[in-house]
Amino acid sequence: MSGAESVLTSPERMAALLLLLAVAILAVSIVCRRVALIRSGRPVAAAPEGTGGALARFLLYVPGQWSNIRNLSMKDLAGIQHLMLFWGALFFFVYYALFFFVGDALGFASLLRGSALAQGFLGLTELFGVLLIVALIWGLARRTLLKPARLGPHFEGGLFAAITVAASALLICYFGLEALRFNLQTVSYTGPVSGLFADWLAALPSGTQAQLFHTAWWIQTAMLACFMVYVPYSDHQHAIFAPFNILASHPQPHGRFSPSGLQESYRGLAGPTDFTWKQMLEVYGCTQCGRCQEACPAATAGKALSPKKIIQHVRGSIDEAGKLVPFWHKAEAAGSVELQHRVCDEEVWSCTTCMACAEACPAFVSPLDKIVDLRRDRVMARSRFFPELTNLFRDLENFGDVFGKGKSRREDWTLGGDVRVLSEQGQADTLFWVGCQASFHDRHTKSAKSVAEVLAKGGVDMAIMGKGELCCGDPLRRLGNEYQYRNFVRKNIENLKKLHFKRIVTYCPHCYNTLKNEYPQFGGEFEVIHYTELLQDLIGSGSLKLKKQLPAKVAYHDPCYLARGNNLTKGREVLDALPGASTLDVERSGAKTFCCGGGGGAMWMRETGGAKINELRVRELVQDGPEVIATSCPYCVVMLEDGIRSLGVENVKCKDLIEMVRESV
Amino acid sequence: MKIGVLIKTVKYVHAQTGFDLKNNCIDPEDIVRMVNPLDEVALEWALKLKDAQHDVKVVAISLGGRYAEEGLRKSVAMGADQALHLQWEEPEKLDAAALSEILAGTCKRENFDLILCGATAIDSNEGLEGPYLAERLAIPHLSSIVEISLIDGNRRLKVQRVVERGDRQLLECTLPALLTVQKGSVVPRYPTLAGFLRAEKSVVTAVQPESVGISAAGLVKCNLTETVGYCSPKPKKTRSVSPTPLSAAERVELMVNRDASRAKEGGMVVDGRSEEMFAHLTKVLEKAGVLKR
Amino acid sequence: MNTNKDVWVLVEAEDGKISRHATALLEEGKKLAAELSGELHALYLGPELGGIGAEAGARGAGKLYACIDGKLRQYDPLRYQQVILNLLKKQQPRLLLALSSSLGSDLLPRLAFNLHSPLVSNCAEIEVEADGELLFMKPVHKGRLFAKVRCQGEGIRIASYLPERLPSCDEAGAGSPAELVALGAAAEDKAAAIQVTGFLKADHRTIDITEADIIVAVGRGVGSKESFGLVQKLADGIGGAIGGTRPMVDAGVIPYERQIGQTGKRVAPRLIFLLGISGATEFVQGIVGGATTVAVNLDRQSPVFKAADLGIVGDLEQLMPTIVKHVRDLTGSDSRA
Repeated sequence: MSGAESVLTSPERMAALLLLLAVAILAVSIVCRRVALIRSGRPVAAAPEGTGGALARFLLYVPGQWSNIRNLSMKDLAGIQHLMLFWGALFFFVYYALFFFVGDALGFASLLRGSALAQGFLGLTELFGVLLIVALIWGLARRTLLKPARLGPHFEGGLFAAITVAASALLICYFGLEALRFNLQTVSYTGPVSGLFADWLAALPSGTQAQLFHTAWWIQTAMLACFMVYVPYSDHQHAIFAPFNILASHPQPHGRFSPSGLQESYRGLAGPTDFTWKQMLEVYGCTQCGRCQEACPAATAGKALSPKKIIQHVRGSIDEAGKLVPFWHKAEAAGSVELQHRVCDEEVWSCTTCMACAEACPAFVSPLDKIVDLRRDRVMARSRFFPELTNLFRDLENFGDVFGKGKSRREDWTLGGDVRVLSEQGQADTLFWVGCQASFHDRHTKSAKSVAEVLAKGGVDMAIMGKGELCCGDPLRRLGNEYQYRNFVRKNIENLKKLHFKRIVTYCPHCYNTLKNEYPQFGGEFEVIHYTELLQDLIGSGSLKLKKQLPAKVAYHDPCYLARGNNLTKGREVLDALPGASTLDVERSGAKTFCCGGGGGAMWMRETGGAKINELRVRELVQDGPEVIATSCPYCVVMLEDGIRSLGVENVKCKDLIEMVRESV
Repeated sequence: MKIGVLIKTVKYVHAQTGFDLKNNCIDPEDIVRMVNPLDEVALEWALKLKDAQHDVKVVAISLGGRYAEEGLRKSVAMGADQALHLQWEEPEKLDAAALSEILAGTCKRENFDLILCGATAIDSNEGLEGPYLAERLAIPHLSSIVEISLIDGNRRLKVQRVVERGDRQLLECTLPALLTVQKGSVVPRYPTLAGFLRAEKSVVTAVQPESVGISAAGLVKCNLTETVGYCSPKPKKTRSVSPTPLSAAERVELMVNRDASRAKEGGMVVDGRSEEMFAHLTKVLEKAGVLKR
Repeated sequence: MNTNKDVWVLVEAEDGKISRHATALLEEGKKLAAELSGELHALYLGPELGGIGAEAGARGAGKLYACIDGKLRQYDPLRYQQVILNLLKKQQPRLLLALSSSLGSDLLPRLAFNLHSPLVSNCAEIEVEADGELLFMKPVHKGRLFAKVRCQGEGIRIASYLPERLPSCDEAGAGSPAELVALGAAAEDKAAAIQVTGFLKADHRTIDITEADIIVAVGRGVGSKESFGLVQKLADGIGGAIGGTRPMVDAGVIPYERQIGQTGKRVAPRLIFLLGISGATEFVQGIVGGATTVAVNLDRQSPVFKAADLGIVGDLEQLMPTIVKHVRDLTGSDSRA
């Protein structure tokens, strides 16, 4: 009986075994320490999802690599590369665990290699080996030659060159070894690639081949050891943690933020373990692919914020806390700084909370909730934010709205119109939640009136809260002021519960999002719809007839909080139903819509450097020469209108969708 | 060192959306209860002084009913160490002279090194309680202060007070003293969560006026002024005739044709290239006192 | 029982003569004195002012009680108090008026307390009622309402008057100069509890815009860097602080601290220039108090002209040089520092 045993000596195998065991124990201990660190994070509320759902997601996204397949386009073929890497790595993992470790090192090679199944597996593995080399070289080319923005700003070409060289060495050795096994007659078959190698190497004398075998074997062992030490510290550890993160990522609307604990013991983010275990798991499941950065409007505008860098910051500080910084980083770690100082103010406050990063991530990581936690830390633990936000917070607390106009003026917009105010004794089918913008802002009171008019024409039995309506609290939550947010939510829920209505319709997507997705967190369960949904129903059922022609080429801008936060794109359908209007295609629309730049409290804060997000979006929207830019969010209207003005674009007007509908009925 | 800060929770009418002319169209929802903004500035100064040294105790004092207590809790949230609530229903019935009597009774007991308060309150627009209190306590007082520093081993104050045109007077004053503050460039700090939670749980010390020797009947006699009613704002009287007298017809036309080409009452819109532009500009600058003639 | 029906007015000086507002207050005092059937007298403390007697007399003052003291160039609370208290205790006028200026607001409470007198601060109007008593009206709740106040007791009625509520005066009529009653200067007391130690003149370039008296505000219409340079020259010429709209802050032309408006600062200048500003509500809301407003804009239909006392229609690029030159010629200097 022949086998690798006859080429490798016992001491060799013993040495290799011990080396690999030692390294494996080290690697496993690193992973275990990291797992323990993750588990020391704050608990997360249990989410209602059956194991079936979780398993389906796991299978689709992990072995199925669905994110990579979904993202494939002519402009972005990187998904193919990752498929090759993933499946290749998987096959090689099995190969090395089984055939190398158990087989060669422990001496069961011939046993394992005997079956046809093994032969088939090994053949496939060799094909994947080739694909791996291609993928590695492709990856290196991307990081050194192509340099797509999302992989930057630090492309780490040197590191990837080293990895490519090391992995290629490993694979060449692998092919060589497989070939030599055949030539030295320890196995009876070759695979497709090793067959070629076998032919090339056959010319050498068998002594040389045996020498080569030992050399290649030790090179392989050394490389393996290196990788086993490297992977648990590097970005590649996402291979270990991402699958678990995907399993734990129960689906929920992007617009729903988690509540934060508001006890005496709230420490903000004093230590990295003040994150939840899910957040920490995400951070280690991050692949550093940069799709979040590519999608982020602030990063696109060249501001200090990059969602990818936020994850890096968080990871760095968690690594330090758990003393899991690899020795090759120790030099940087020496000057390490607490998380709240690592992330500068511009980064934290540039975020518009548009959720593009969370939506773009192929690995179910959300940089957004970490940014929001950083904001909560700054606002609630440190009171550290731009002074203009103090005015906003004080106006909200004293007057109950973002403008500081006061509750008693909430009904001003209805003067001259015919809008019913719902009293505690009364009843209405639909409560129209007007929102601060539509109640007070010059530009939007017209829209409030239009909503009332149009819904009346559609036969909806509607009333407003009037003076009892307070700000929904959305700006407070997005800015991190959870304490005041909770106060507002509680007051609003109390007031809403006193009234009798079946459902709430809102004008503003932010009000919609928080009333629908987040008020239940505090005990307020209401049926909430956005006016675009209601319009679409009314038009569809014939209750609302759109008569007048509005001939215009319209570019529709999907508001983040509808399209991405809640998968709601009814606005576009309403637009299509408007007679005469022709809707232009907008590249980034629907769930991929590009933020107008007005969310996350940006409306009240100073600019934080870089270009202006609204100007970028306006440029995109006017590409095909529309006459009208339409949208269904008051913040988007203001931001886009301002962008049109500051860019000096002529012959384009920005219109609120409800205005257009009113013109047409 | 002990700093007292006078806090007023104002009953501020910020809109008039009612329909009853008899009560000046004020709807209950039109009234906002909030801490007087300048009192928050005063508290911020006290807290700044506390941040700079370590043995400073800041005591917030407010006189009134339930809303005064809410204002005191906000002060504790910002960082005040103690809150004293002088319980008195309807303080609006007393004028500054009488109110300062109650405040004096408490402050005498507390023995403050420094008392701070806002220069005016947005509801009553008086600015008198502070100075009267200081006079009752026989301590020096200064108004419209925008910079405060302690010098000479905490025995004296170095302050800046605003005068017209943004100029400032520099003064020094011995302690104990009372200062009324203007906004200056101070932004009152926003409480942290810890502050808010502490305020929720904190104990506000209630002080009954009787305990400092004040009787209700005695106080009402202290009133020197009496508010007899309220009315809508009256327009400013113009005495002189406009320098370029308009004929009756022109005046009527002005009133009738109020479009964008007619600016404010008495205002003018002129073409930038015309000669009259310079004349009007000169007049404006002269009226504003920019030109020294 | 006080039978004195005189009205006294404390005057302040500016630029070497009685200030505009003090002059207007004298006129108001004259009117009230007539209604009360009393006399008008003026009160002044400060350095020598040539012709002050004549000025006071021209406005109807019978006597001018003056404490001429070079050391009173600045307001000194305790010394003013000392001089005036003794005088008032002796003379006991019916009504003492002062402006609700920084000086008036500080001084009057001291006097009122020590005279056991009622004080009504920040008055907008004063009327004499049928029973001979005075009715004071003052804005409350940020000017939303007027409170009507009457005084009680027998003490001197003391009131501070809002300068912006005083109607502006015409040229003075003829009148004999007021009789000068010299008051002894207060002794200097180095051990006094309050010491005046200095004076900081505002620098229009560094002053906080919320305190600035004169503001030059810029908006998108200002255009080029060259135009902005001229804006700075205009500001220097009239001693104005530079402010602006949010787009100008976003564009980095001016820092955030100079933003006027809803998300910026509330300013209350006497005079404000709005250059290239469209007048959106968010901006206009930032200007409180009745400022004299000059707007320059290209668009005749721009809403900013509704908020301006003087509107100039034209292209800023072309107009700025002429305006700056005109201002320079008028003020006779490049900077007013």
